[in-house]
Amino acid sequence: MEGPVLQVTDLVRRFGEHTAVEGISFTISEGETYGLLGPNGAGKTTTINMIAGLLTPDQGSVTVLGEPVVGNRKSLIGLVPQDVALYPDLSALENLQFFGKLQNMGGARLKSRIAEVLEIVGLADRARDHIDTYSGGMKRRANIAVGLLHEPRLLILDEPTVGVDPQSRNSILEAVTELGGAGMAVLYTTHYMEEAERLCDRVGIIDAGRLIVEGTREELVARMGEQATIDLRVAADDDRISRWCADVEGLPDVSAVRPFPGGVQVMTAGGTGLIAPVVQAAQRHGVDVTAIDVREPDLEAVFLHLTGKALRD
Amino acid sequence: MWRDMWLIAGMGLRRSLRDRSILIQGLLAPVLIALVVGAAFGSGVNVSATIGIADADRSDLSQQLARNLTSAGGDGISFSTVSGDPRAALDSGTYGAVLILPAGLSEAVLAGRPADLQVVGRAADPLAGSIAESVAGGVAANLQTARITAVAASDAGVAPGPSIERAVTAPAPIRVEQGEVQGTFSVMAYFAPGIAMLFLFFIIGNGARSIIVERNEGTLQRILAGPVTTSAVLLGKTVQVMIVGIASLTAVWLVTWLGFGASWGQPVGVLLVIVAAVAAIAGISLLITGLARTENQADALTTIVALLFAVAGGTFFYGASGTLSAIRQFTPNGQALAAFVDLSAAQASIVEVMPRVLLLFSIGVATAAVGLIALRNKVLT
Repeated sequence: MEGPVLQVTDLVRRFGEHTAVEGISFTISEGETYGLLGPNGAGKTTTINMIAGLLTPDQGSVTVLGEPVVGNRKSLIGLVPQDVALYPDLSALENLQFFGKLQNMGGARLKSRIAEVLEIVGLADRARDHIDTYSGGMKRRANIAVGLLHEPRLLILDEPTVGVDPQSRNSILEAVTELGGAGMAVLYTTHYMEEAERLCDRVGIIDAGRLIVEGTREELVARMGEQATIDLRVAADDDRISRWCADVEGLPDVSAVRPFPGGVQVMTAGGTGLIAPVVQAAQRHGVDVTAIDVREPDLEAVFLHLTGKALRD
Repeated sequence: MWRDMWLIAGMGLRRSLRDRSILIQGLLAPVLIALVVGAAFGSGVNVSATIGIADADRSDLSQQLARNLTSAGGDGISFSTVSGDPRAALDSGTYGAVLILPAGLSEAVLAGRPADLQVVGRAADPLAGSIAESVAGGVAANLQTARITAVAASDAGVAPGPSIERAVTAPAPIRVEQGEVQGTFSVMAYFAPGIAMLFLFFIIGNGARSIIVERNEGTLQRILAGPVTTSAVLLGKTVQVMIVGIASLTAVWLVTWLGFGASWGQPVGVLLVIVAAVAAIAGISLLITGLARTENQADALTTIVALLFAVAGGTFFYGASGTLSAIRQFTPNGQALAAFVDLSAAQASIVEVMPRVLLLFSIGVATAAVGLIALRNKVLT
């Protein structure tokens, strides 16, 4: 197939004086899983709603397979909303039948497809139970099943694993991996960096309505250079820690020092060689270092570096 | 679009049927309330009262009055002579009220002095007391005639006795007769639709509010993310509330008619009024839902509007005059009830109730149009 499955060009959406999305552009190809990362309020859901046709952009365009997403072409997209959007007093089977019919499915095709998606999300044996009898993880899996039902070319998953038990989470991640492998284009938003690292072929980082960077994991990490992250667990009063942090910031190759509850995070291009001077400085200020963890650059560090805040802020 | 509309309406109906409250509000409660009202009054208004006449005067005049009264009555009202203590007779439960012709009545009348008639009644039977008071009023008017006769006879130097007797026993110069009443007014056929329409505001309101609920729960966005238009969603919801409303009111009609013999009038006309009434209530509910900011606000507004219309429209009481009667004309349930009364009591034809039917449809269309535009904007933002 030529061209991307999804092409988002210069999307803008304002709510009164507030600009929620400002000039976002990206593409997703067949079989590609694209991660859209950003803190709460960054504009992820607004972007998704514009792609799914639920919000009209003030500016810019969205095309799927080269054409605008209107009328029956909306069936090219499968939306899995952030909240479980199912009828709780109906069974998974009844929900799937209803939403399938709205996608112009019916008869044997609908029946067989329902069986398939229930198998994919591992709910075949609970298909006739009401949604409100499901656990949180099962509800999320049923939510995904409806998005997959009509075999969309682009699947949009908006934070599908929030509040999910580890078993369901793993099941969801495996399903998404398989869908990408089967040629479906997937747009995935998440708060969990490890999910983005595991699933996404490319990642776009969005903050304050702008896409500030995008690329493969390797490309993004490379932007960080040789920077490593040193997490130090410490025991001391706040004054001593503050004086120590000020001292550490002055050390060569230290690019950032960020205290967190019970410890301090140091970003450095000096690698493990910086551990000794940091610990010595701690001793000088009467700060006891109880644990040290050195991490190679990852998406979390990239995010922190680019936005100045943790992903879950 | 039509297929989607029916799918959405069907889903709403399926969920409504699973919600037991709709069966209670839409059928059980109106029928039960109508049953209670029907048990109290039967399928028509039956008035029965026994009035005792206690003659303590024992004069020719008082005996003549008592004879006149005891030979009167009819239509469930009867008079009979009370011997002995009137209060004891009342306590025996035989009489609803007793009219006492006091000792000295004749003498007072003949002398041109005022005479006191007494009515004793029971608090438990206010209807009999009212009837006895009315009868006493009639007797007093008759006695006034006797007094005028006595004075005239006295002035003319004629013995008044025979003249008074003639005056008291003479037939009234003018008789007022009740005109022919066509058909019968069925209390159940009045209160059942009245109560049912009150509940319809809540049932239909719930259906209309489901748009806001679905928007909050995300299912509306999920529907709209597919190849479904906003118009199909809104029409589907409208069809859903119309079907629920018509089914509810029709069920109440059939149960009270076939089960309890309360005729609402000719069936085609009744169905027409039912559909028109439901259209008006559905339109108002959509308007409330469209204008309310939240589900709770819509809920509160529905309750206020439903109760206001119920009180103003005559849901809880039949008779009305003056301002109240005028206000009734401005309420959809008042118009619908008037149409039902026209059909049942006055045996009106479809053509005769058509103006009210058209008015109800107009209310429905106008309010629904504004409500749906407001809801469309709500859904799309």
